[in-house]
Amino acid sequence: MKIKNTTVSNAATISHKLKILAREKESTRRKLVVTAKQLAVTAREKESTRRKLVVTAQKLAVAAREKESTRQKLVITAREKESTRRKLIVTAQELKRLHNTLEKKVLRRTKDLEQIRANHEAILTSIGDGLVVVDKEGKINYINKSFEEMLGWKTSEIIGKSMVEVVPREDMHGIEVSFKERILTQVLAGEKFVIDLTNPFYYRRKDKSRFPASSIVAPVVLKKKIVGAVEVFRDITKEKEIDKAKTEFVSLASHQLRTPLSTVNWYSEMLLTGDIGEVTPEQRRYLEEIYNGNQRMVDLVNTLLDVSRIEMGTFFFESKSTDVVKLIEATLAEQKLQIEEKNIQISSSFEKKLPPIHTDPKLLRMVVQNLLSNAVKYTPDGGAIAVSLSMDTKKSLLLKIADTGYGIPENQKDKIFTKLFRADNVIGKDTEGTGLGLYIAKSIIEQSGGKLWFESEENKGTTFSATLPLRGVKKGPDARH
Amino acid sequence: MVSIEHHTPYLSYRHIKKILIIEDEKTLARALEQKLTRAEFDVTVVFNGKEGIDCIQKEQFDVILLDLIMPKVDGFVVLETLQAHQNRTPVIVLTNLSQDNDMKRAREFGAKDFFIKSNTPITDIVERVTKLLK
Repeated sequence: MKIKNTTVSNAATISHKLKILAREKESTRRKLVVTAKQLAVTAREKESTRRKLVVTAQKLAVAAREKESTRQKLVITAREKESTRRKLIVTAQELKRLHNTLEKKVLRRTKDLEQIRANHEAILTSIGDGLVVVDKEGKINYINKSFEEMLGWKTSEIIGKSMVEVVPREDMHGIEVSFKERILTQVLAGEKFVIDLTNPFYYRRKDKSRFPASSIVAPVVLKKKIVGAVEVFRDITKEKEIDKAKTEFVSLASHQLRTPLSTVNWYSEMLLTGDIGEVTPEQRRYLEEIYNGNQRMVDLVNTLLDVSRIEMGTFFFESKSTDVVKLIEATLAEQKLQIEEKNIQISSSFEKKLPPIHTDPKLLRMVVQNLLSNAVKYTPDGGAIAVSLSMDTKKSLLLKIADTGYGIPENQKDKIFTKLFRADNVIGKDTEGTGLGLYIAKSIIEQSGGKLWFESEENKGTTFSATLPLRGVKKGPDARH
Repeated sequence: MVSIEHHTPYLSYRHIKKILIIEDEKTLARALEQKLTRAEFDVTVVFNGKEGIDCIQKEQFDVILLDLIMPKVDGFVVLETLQAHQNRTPVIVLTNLSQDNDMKRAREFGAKDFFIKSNTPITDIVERVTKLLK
């Protein structure tokens, strides 16, 4: 029995143990079910997470690509930035350099400008001519040192005062020029633009004494409006003295040179006319040489005197109504002998009903004589000369003297009106010319408001043309302004 | 100023016309004197303006040939004197001055003619005088 008890007890224990095991197993199973459930949940969660992870992975991939792209862009940008940076550095350097240069230039210019301004001020102040600037009312804004010295007024005394009232102006006859007639008044009123007063007048100083002066008045124009005027004037006392001396010299020279010439002229003439008995043909020839030689000297003195009169302006333009056709015909008649000697054909054509011109016939005659005698002198025997006169414009006549002569060499055309110039190709042909005739002719024509010019071809001929204004002759030296 | 007798036309009964030459250049004066004498004029020559005025004061002339630049009293003064005394004896100026204002001045003072000596043949002067006195 014992064995059986033991076996029963064992069995009970085992059963108990089995029960416990079963319970444990059940518990474990339950736990496992729970766990399985949990695992299922976890699996689902895991799946969800996986999916999410896939999505995230995809997003990340996209982001990575974008990042890569951005990175690449950034690389490029960085490069560009670097390049720009470098450029900027260069530009900055350049700018700095330019700035420095500019700075230097500005400094230099400023210095220059200051220098110029100082110079201008010095010039205005120390200019030998009197200078006055007035506003549009004619009130004095500025005067220079010469003004002060010449007129005896100090800047402080005269600024703001009327120039016309404070400084009286008189004409050469000592008559005071009225306010209305003062050039300054007229310039300010816009009646005259720039006036060059070559004719002298007198200015009265503060102390009432006076001096001869000449002046130029010009308006100061700003934005097309006259805002004032500038007058520059000079004391011409010395010029007047020199002028007087020159006139006296010419007068003296003409007298002194002409007296012995007259003696030779008259005495050889008296011998030739047989006043003291007949002369032999040979003596006559010799006397004629003396007479002609002397005559050339007379002509030369006359021409030289004409030149000095032109240069000194002592020619009187005594204008009167002049029939130019008659004047030309008279000149042609004068030179008939020389024309016939050289067998030169003369043709003339004058437009019908030409008006007379207002000019100095004596001087115009001198011009025509010069042009015509040149044409005769410088045209070979048997040549031709054509003289014509026609209306040029409504205001002037056109004179033409054309020859078939030696012409003027191309390289000497620009010198032909120069004083004492004679063209190479005629010096040998005519020994009497002085080279003054054309200079005189041009001076006279231009002083009377016309023009003188020529066209020429060597060995074919020359045509001199002159315009003669119907009116427009310069006034004589005593003309009043 | 010296007083001068007035020129009166009724004196023209004289057959030989009287000419006064006032010229300081003796050679020129002599040439004129000779030429005019040969042309049968009664010629008086003086060598300056002062003598000229004295002559005019004493005598009546038919024409006066007058130089301008002369010592003592010049031709302009002679003209002025004649004009001041209303002496209308025709005056022919013979000079070597050729400035326009000299000519103008001489004419203003009553000169009838104006010749530049070096530019005028002596026969022209004789002709002019003869024509004037015809």
